[in-house]
Amino acid sequence: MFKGINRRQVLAIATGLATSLLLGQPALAADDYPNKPITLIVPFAPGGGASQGAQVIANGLEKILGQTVIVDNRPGGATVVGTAAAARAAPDGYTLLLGSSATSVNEGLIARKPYNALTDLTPIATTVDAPYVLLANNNAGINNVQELIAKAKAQPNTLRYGSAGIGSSHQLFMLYLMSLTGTQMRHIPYEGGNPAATAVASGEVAITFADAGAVQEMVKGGLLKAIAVSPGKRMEIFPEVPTIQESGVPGFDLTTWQAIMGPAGMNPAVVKKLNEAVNKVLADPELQKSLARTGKAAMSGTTDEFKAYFAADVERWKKVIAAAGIGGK
Amino acid sequence: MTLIENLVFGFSIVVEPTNLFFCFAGVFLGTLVGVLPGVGPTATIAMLIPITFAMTPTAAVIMLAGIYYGSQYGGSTTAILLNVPGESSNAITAMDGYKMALQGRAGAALAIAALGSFFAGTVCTLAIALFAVPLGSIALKFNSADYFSLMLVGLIGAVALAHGSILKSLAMIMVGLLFGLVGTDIYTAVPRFTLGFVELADGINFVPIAIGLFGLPEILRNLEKADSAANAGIARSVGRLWPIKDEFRASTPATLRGTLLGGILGILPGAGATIASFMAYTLEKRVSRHPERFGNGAPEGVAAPESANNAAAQTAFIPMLALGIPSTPNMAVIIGALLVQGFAPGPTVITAHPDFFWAVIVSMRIGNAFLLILNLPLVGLWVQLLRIPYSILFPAVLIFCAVGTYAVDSNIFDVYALVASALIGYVLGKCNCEPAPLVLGFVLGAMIDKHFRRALLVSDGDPAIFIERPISAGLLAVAVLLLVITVVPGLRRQRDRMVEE
Repeated sequence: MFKGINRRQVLAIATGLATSLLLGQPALAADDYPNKPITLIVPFAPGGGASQGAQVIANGLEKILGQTVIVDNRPGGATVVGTAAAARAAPDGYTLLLGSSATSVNEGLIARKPYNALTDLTPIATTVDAPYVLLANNNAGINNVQELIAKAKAQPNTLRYGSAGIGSSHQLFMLYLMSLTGTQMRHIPYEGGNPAATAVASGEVAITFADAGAVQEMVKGGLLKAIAVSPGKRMEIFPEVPTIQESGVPGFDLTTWQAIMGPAGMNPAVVKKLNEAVNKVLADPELQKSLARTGKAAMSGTTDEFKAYFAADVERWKKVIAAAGIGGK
Repeated sequence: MTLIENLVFGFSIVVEPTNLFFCFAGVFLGTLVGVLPGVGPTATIAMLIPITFAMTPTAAVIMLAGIYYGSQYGGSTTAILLNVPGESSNAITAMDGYKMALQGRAGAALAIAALGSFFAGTVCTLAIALFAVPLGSIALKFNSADYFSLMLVGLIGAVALAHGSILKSLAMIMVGLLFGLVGTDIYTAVPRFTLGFVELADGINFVPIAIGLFGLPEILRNLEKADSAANAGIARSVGRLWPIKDEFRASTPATLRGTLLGGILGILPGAGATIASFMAYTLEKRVSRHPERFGNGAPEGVAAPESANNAAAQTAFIPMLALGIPSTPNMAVIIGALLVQGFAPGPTVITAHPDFFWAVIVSMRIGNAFLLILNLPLVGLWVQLLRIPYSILFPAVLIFCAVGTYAVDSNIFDVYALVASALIGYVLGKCNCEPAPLVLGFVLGAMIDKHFRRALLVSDGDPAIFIERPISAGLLAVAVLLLVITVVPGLRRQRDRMVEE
């Protein structure tokens, strides 16, 4: 039988097989996706809060999709390095990105980057929601937001607030608060959320926003006061702390978020499959309990909801950054 | 919580199988690394950082701390048996230790070294347990101005206490400072020294610098003198393992003094185990009624430096645990490892993470006990390891370094930085410049810049803030004092003579 087949025929068969496989891919993609391991690029350092959250979601996805989901930590450049790598990847659904508030903030903050988040990324599904808490030094005489506003108005540009650096959510939340209340305060940047919180405890600055989960130990230990929380609803880990809206600043409903995104041009069927998988992971009560312990909440929703949320988020921060004059580098 | 309650609490955490395992692994590795001349604790810790990402911060520090003070134990073994110090802090142990070995009293020397180290470790762990809390609460009183002055003391201390030419130490510190400034300025978000590479926007990674400057040049240097390394005379027999009563009597006060001196020097940034051991030896020689015995096999010449360097290795953790400040490059590497994990050691560690703090303290006790068990009976085994041909050892080490560096951030730039640092480190060695001040400058420099500018931001540009705040003023006074001590020629000549002995 082999005598009959010559080299040309083998080549023809091989070419035919290859072509049909390649051409056949998109049509088969959604049905047998995923059929190999998926890489989730996380533009944060391994072991940190953001990365650990991503690992939890990745583990959940593995069980539902039946394929390994590898967390690929690529920190650097305030998430630009990792995000750029994801935007460059092939949109076959096997390279995903852990998007976050930083992704939308960077649109207004960093002009020189090799991608545009609105056109080069596909929003797939939101995962967690990590609100911030407003902390105050114990001896600053600031027990709630109203007292803060009064003090800030009495001495403009004197009260000091901390942050995790220029362009960090900590600073942006404060800028937004200042714009809504017509106050001016002095910005003192620190290397991260924890140093900023420590500075509030030691009194070097009067107030700062901070990731609620990260500082709950300090608040419980009485090292500083939590005077308000950033989202529209009260938080489980700080039940007696009012929201900023409740404290008399209507329209202040902010949080930081994480989500699964992918490069632009992904197959919509694959996107839908991933979105459903993520929402299933988020529905697990054990996961929700462990998230709540660290001050986070599951944030499930459809892809369209996320698309709209993302676009609105980008716009909001672009305005705040432009008004404060800190962006564009 | 009382001290006893806290210690019991810490004990309950350390005896968890994982933590216990890492404690043992740490001290075992540390001893191994100490015994092997060429690889030091800094390089080992730097190489193992990627592994710590998979561990909890508690287990990570338990292991890394174990490596650090374990290496002080191990280094004395080769110093005594082969006249080859495992660590630079064991160099002075070799002087009297090897002589004792040649006189057939190697066992006694090893025992004195081990017992002295154990005593020092015990006392200093207690000191940490007792004083870390007050230190911790004081630390919350530190603001940016105070940190700046503290780091200034550290930098000046690094010059005052470093070996060799002051000019070279200063130059090394400056170079380290410049490297430390690479990155994005946190106050203006403007890139500095990044040469347009976005990979450098977060600064040069610490791990390639640490490994490149410490671990790799040692390999290059050892390759250069390939013949001489392992050919030193091996002490014929280990002899009786226990010192005689006279030796005990001579070593006890030496151990006490060494512990005290080492314990204090360990806390100061810029000092460290090496300086501690040198100064303890000199002190011992000064107060001895028979100074001529030193250099000829005096047991106190082994006891003093060994207890001093272990004491310093333990108390070096106080500034790190309580304040988040590295007092030696080793501590800086450990802090770096914790920071990557998102865990910032500092003033709030004691209150925010008491489990971490007390577990580390108790692990030091347990680690010291492990070391005593390891070192005394297993000496023979350790010496066998020295027989591994270097031609097999060094490629393995090189591979570990490169893989470990890349694994930190999956950033090939880090490996370039590693190669560059290795070459720089090699050249520096040839010029007789020490890499330690460079690393200290690298870590402290970036911090000094940040704290200085933040202090001025807080005071709205008024430099008087550095003198107005009492802590800052006090530290600045210490800095000036250190500077004066360094610059006064008479004292300087004495320091050089001390080091050259």
